[in-house]
Amino acid sequence: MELIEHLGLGLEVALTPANLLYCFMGVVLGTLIGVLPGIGPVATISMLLPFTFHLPPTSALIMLAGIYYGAQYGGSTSAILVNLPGEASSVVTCLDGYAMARDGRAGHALAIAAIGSFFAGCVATLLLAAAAPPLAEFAVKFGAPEYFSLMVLGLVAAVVLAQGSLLKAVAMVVLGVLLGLVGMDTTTGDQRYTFGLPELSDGLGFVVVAMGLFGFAGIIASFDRPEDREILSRPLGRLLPGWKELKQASGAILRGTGIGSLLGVLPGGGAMLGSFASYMLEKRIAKDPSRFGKGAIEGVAGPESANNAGAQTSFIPMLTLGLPTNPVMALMVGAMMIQGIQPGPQVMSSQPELFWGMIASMWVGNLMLVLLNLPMIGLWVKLLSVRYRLLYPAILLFSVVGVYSLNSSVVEVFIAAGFGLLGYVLIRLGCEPAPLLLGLVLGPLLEDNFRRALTIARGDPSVFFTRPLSAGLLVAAILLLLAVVAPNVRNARDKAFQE
Amino acid sequence: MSNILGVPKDTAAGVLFMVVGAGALAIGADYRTGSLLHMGPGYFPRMMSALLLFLGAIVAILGLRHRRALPEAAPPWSWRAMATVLGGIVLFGFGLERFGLVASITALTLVSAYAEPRRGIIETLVLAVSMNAIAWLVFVLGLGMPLPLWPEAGGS
Repeated sequence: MELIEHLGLGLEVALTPANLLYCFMGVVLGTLIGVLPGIGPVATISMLLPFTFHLPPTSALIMLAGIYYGAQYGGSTSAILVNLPGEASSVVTCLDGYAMARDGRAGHALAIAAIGSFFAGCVATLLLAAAAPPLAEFAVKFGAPEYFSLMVLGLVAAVVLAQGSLLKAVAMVVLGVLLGLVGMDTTTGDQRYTFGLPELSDGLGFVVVAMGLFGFAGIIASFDRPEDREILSRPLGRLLPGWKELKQASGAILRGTGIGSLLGVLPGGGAMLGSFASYMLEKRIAKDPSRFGKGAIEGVAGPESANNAGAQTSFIPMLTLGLPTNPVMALMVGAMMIQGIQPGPQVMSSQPELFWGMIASMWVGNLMLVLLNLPMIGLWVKLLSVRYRLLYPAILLFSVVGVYSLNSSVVEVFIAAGFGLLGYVLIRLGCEPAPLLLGLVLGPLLEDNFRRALTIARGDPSVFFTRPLSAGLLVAAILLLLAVVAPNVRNARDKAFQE
Repeated sequence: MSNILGVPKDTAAGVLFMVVGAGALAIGADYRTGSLLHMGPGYFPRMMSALLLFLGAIVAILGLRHRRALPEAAPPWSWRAMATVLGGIVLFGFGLERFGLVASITALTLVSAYAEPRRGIIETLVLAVSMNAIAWLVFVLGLGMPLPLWPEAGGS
């Protein structure tokens, strides 16, 4: 079977000592920042990206991917023990996880979260390996009009699934696209919006922007709410759950894995959406919904499986279509481009070692995470006592040195600071920064494919609707937008985000 | 505080989008537009700028309409953190190539440390020394990055 052959090749790559080490570093770092509130995977990956330049591409991507799914494991630890979501995707885990901890069942909650995450991670890895080849084969047939329409659909879906106001999210995407146009026009060679700065002629670096919007703005925003953190001093309780609890949780783990895998593929999805959806589903189908919020084990098992599954399946569109669906994937696209790899359907055939190595590394990484998290949970708990006031200067230090080292350019440090200011203002005005980053990464590709499509069609804009595939994608985008504007769907969406 | 100077949050956001859209139109005014077949450098940017201006206007107007919808209890803006964090970064950028890594990190840490209002001078100094130690260990010793540690002789 081809699948086994592919995974075999991948394991060969992932199990080399060097890659094992980078995978390990990635998941440890991911767990670390997952446990610590106030720093998420986006800020961490943009912080570390500059330091991965000298690594071989496969090792760099293996490590960066490890940070993302590792953070999903770590996020549950602080959610359960301190009622503080280490990551946005663990918000719902707080509800029942913390309740379990107060009952003296913290150990069970942590174990179930880890077991669920591991199961979900294994399934999602297989899914990724199985779904990637046919999708990539399909996408190779895409021409410029199809790519343009696909990106429009991707951006629309990202906006629809984003939190908060739809209109503001659309505006943020457009703002991102516009910022993505800064620099030299690739077709004509003209400079645009560079203000005469040579640093801008290659465009705004996405790492610089991400660092400002997520790193710096995040640090400032963390001072909006005073730090108060109560470390659970109660004993963790027995770690390994009994049969009864495992059985109780197994359904939730399965459903969470399914729903998380599905939602992870969708643009705008990733880890967070799946965890919310899974919690709502568990609560709805439970015989006794009133148990939820008071320590229902399904309320931990489902969302924690879902966020890990989603974190991994969100790699599918990125790896096969070159389409980033969330800010982390946008950074992964950036990481590939820095390494001289153009993301897209051709990566799988032109760089099979990188492609399959990265996928196999996720399975290896998940195994490491279980081993890391269960026996060493005490260590991570201790980490929670590190105060943010001591942590953020270190984050700042790594960020500024990272930005500077990108191009040895002080100007980029200033630009990042500017985006920090913009990011904080946008957060305060209720504008999520994630769509902006997607727009920024896709902006130049959008323009390029728009142009090429119209050149092929001799300037006839109907090309986007006369090619069936392109038309289908655009119609899907329009339907999606209309569906959200429709009042009843809108209410359901608002309700979903409020819960 | 859900608004600045009595302006609803959404309206402020909308105006911000409009300013960027209009600014992009103005700066790009002399970029050649070209035709659909032969698009100049100005075609797509102009499309996007106009779209942003339009969306910003809608967001701003809708924001005004929902003015009395629900008064939100938002925490006050963290002006102090904004000034110290961004100020520290700018100082770092300003100092790095002139005064070297040690001086810039010290400046970054000393200034940004006071984003946290309850912080003593001793803690801040210890923090600055630790940051320099971490930087030296990780960037210089570990990664071998070519960073100037001290001010260069003669200055540049």
